[in-house]
Amino acid sequence: MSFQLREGAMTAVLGAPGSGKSTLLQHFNGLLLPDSGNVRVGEITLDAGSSQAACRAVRRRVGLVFQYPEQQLFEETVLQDLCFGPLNHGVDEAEAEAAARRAAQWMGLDDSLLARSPFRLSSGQQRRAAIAAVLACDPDIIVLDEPTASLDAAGRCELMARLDAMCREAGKTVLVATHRLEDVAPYAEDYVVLREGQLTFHGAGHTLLQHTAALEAAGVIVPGAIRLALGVAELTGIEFDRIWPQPSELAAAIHQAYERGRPT
Amino acid sequence: MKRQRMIFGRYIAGDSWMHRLDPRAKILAVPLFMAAVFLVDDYTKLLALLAFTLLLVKSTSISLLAVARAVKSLWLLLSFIVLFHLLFDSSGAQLMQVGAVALYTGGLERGIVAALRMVMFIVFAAVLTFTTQPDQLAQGLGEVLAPLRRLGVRSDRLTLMLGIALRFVPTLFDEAQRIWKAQVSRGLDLRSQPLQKRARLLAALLIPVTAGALRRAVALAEAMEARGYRLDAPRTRYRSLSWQLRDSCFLGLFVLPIAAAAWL
Repeated sequence: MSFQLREGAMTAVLGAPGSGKSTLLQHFNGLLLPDSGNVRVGEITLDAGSSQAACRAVRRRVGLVFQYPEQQLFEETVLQDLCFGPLNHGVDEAEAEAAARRAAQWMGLDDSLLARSPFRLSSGQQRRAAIAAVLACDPDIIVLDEPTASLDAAGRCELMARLDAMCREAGKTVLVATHRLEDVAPYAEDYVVLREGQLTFHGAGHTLLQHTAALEAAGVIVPGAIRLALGVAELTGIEFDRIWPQPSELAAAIHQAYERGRPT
Repeated sequence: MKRQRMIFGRYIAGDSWMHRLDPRAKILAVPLFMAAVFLVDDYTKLLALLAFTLLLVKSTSISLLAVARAVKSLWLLLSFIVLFHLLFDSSGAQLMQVGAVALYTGGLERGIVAALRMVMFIVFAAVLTFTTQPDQLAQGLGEVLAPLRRLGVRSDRLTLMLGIALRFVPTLFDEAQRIWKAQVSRGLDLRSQPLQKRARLLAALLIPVTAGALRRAVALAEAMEARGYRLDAPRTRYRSLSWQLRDSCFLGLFVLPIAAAAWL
């Protein structure tokens, strides 16, 4: 497979469980090296023979958030856990703490929570703390493996909105692996679809709408809202430039078609 | 790419004669094998027994590489055994003087013999777990220990604990590996750390692994109770074991090395 991430945008990697999303993601961070071919991050190229130094250099640029990251918290306080990454990267303590506080703020964690044990946070707070722990390293690219897994609908929306803000306001490149298209559709600009370890689609959101068969073959369910938009587009001939049109846009399109077809 | 690490407790599906044996035969073979190993005290017999053990492995569908990996995973214990004999056994001629410590040939020989014995135990235990499903192993042990119930030994509890432990050893290893990768992706590099900090970081890895194990244990206990499980309740088995001629022949195989070790 070969594809390039759009800088400063959110890209979604879609595929059923077992399609190779997690394996692909670990290549971005140098935790796995490709048997053949290469992964390029800025001026660094990783291939089968790459050194540990090259992998470490990539890890400074790419932050990887594993699935259920809250299960990986281990320090005595949330602040210490958030400082773990920056300190590993050779930042001094004051700077690490400042980075940790910035990351906590990004993820909407109140300052009062930072002195607590991570094990005393609610599960939603733990998830945000664990993602903040990766953000504290200030990576240019943030790679997340099923970040919305086991969160409720409100939690999923909130987390995705925060990741979107990171792209738009902080200029970060975000890559989200998921099998839930409805979580990423309102935010992701580009899409990668995987099926049994093979790339079956890569492109912008509106072109993905012409490849719903590829999505279904990959085991990704096309949400009702997108199917409704496709149906409206087909019946009215109105094209939507986004994969996830706003309800008001859909309503306007339906109204317009109705007005056009109404007998005078 | 991902490479599955071979560890104890991981069953490797196959259809070799060893896979088909009654688990009770394999469990009863363990004390016989141990007797043979302890009766051996010189290199020639030890090598003959090692050859017998490797022949056993070769006759199954398990690759020698898989067994070698199991041995390699315990290299620290093996090194400790050799070192212990080397430092505290002063029989034989003096080999060399390292500072205030004198090393003797007797210590070296006994260390190697003890380590080789341990290697054989590891190989045998590895083959046992590679060729027997964990639930079969636990059931076999339960039936072997059943007569002890008359003496008040709660063998069913022991086998339940063993069955669950064997089932979860690979899961816990996988989880530890995932947590380790998460820390590495946050810039953890043990080699650059002083010994004391290394120990602290390794202990820190145990915190999320232990927390995960406890979480799993509680969930498992609740799931079992929810499905009507009661300790000490009379129950039938999904698979009933039946002793065949091949199982008796297998046990007979171990009488051979014991006799050879005792009389040769």
